[in-house]
Amino acid sequence: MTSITRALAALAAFATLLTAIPLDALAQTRGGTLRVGQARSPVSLDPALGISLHEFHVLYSIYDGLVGYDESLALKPALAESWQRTDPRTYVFKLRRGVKFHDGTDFDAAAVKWNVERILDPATKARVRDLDVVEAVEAVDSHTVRFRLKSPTGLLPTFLAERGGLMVSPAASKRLGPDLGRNPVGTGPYRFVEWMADDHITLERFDQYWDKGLPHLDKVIYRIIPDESVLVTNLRGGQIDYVADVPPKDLGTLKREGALTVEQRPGLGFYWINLNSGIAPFNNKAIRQAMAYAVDRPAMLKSLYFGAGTAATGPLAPPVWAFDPALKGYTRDVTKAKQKLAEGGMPNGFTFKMLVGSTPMYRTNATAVQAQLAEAGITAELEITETVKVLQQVVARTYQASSTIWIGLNADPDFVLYPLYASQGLFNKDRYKNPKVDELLDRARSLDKQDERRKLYQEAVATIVDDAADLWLYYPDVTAAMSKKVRGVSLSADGRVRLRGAWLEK
Amino acid sequence: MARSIAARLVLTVPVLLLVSLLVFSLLLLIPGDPALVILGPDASPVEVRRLSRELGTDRPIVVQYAAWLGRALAGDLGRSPRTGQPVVAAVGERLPPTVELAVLGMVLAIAGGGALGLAAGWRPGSLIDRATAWLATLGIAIPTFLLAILLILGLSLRAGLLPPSGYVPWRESVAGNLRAMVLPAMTVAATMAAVIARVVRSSVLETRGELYVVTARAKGLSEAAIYLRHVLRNALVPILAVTGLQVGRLMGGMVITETMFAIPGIGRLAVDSVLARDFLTVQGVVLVMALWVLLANLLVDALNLVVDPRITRV
Repeated sequence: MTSITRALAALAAFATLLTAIPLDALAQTRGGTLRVGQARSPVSLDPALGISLHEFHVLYSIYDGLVGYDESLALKPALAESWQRTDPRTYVFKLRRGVKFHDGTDFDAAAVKWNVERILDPATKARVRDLDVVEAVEAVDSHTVRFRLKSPTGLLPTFLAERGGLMVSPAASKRLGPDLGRNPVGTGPYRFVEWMADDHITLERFDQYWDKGLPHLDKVIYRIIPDESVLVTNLRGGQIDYVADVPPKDLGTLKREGALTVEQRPGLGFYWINLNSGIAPFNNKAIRQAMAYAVDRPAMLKSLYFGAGTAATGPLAPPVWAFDPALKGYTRDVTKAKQKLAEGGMPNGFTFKMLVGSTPMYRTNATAVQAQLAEAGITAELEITETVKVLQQVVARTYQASSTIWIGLNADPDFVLYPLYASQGLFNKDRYKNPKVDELLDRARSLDKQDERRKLYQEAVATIVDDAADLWLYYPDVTAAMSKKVRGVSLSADGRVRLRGAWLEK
Repeated sequence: MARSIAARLVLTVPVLLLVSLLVFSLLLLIPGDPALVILGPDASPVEVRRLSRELGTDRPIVVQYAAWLGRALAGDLGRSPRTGQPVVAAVGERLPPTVELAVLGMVLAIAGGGALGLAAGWRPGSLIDRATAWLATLGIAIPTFLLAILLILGLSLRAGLLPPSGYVPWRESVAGNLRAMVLPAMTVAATMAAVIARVVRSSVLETRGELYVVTARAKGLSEAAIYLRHVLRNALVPILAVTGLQVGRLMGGMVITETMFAIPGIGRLAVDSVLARDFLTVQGVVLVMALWVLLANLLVDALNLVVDPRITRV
């Protein structure tokens, strides 16, 4: 009898154990090497020093943020288990226990304090600007950190989900100095093995990763293949398993062939013609509106970008949570454009100079806009030059217009609206100015309830769009193509590849 | 002979100095403040000024050059402000693939172009001569990137014979390294082989009519002996001259081949660094390339001494 009871008890225990494991986890197989192809090489794997989007593909494998994102880009706990805004200028973060850096040292409050201070220290030459809002960081106890802010902002957790929150091992950084960028040490699911410049970066499974059961892969290799066509050829030939950022011209073919899995979802950024509303002729609202009416956005999206996106209505893309689907934006109407020109005092049109960087897409867009503006009597002279030169004139605000892309970093509307349309915004000084927008953006920034902020942002966007502050063209989709055996790679609207939960089907 | 080569080696030092000065002045003509490029558009003017001071780009060009030269003479080419990596290390790790590609490409070009040229020149008007003329025209006319794509599509994707791109270091696998290098080497070799084929053909044609060849034939020497002893040896001089000239051009074309085949070489480093206004790295790359061209030409001249005894000094 007792043995039967014991057996039954054991069986019951086993059953409970089974249900405790999510079904999904059972299907996942451990092991294997995932080969990710990308066109551009990271410049540095020191999160404080890098500058571009494609670096995140590698950074997220090596480092964890204090705060993370879920699939829909809402914030979720990562190295910090919870956080609280104790007053408008103070945040307290509770840290996860038992987390180790790849070099074996412990992750704790002192490490967080050291990391934030490293970014704020001018000697680091960090390109991360978000954390400038931090006045002081204190380690309250071994796993509690308090941030004091210079001005009230509800955005600190978001800032700590970006580069500024990716935690570097203080011991490794002190040992390596400037060489950290080539020998990164974090707490992430994979640890760094080797980096052969311009060829590949190899990572391997970090066995002491804090999130038990993860990662599934033994090894990850990022291969740098600069030519897009060759990149896609390698994927087709099976030399690599995963490519993010598939050229739009190849999407249709890859889908038709059916040999690979193709993922596509709306992204956060937009192609646009940046108008300098600080100087003539674009300091005239009616003139900007004339431009807005002269351009056919859906047609451009379809013929230039193979339909891989959404026609733009304003500066916020659909995955940004404050996106207003009811916002109409501008549709092409040449008669109206001409009326607006007359209203703005230039009934016979005008001539302006548009700077175009060397990226092919900038040129394609600029040429199409040029042709459409011509029908409304507006002459755009294109100055095609090196991107650096464009940048210099844009920073100096001596340009009239430029054809470019805005890469959306984050699903928080502040990350687009504040830098571009607040009169003190980093990319906006001496450009667009509207006191009403300033007031709305400042107010929204200080709040932290999403619903309250959404209303303010939608009102701000309506004003910015009515002002036709810029010429937003279309929001390109985020895309990836992969071998059928690749599972669990998450591709969010921010276009960053996260390999934390990735696995390979046998 | 050894003395004249030694003299040439000594001469490379002033040439390199001149090259570095030239590059330095050219770089300063390129618009775009390095500090601004490094910091990005969101940097405050104060930060840009601070970084300019750190980089030294706010000082007069003569002072900048002197400071750079002083450190360079001590073997320190500086640290890239873009990647934080020492320039010597950055150039050092990208040099082997480029040198290997250049050498393989040259060997292939000399062997292929030389053989075609010799055959075409020996039987002018024949099928092989006409085919060589076509191939040479094609080789000179076809853009590198197109040839690269065609080779990848044909020999790799369709036929599955070779990997489409990538680089395998020697220490990992010698066979893998060579397999990965075949297509890039063919791409690099195409134009050079075409030029060599044409030069060799006309040189052979000319030599065939020379009196000493007629004499040799009259003496009853076999055609093979005439060809090997008299024609081939004389045809080598123009081959060497052309090869020497092509070495510099080869380095220029390397950027595209490296990009198409994803080879981590020095050409890509040069272009990336120019675009990012990473002047220290550009200087390092140019110095190494200049040294390579100088040494290659010196080698060619030395080989000329061996091939043509009439030449006594380089």
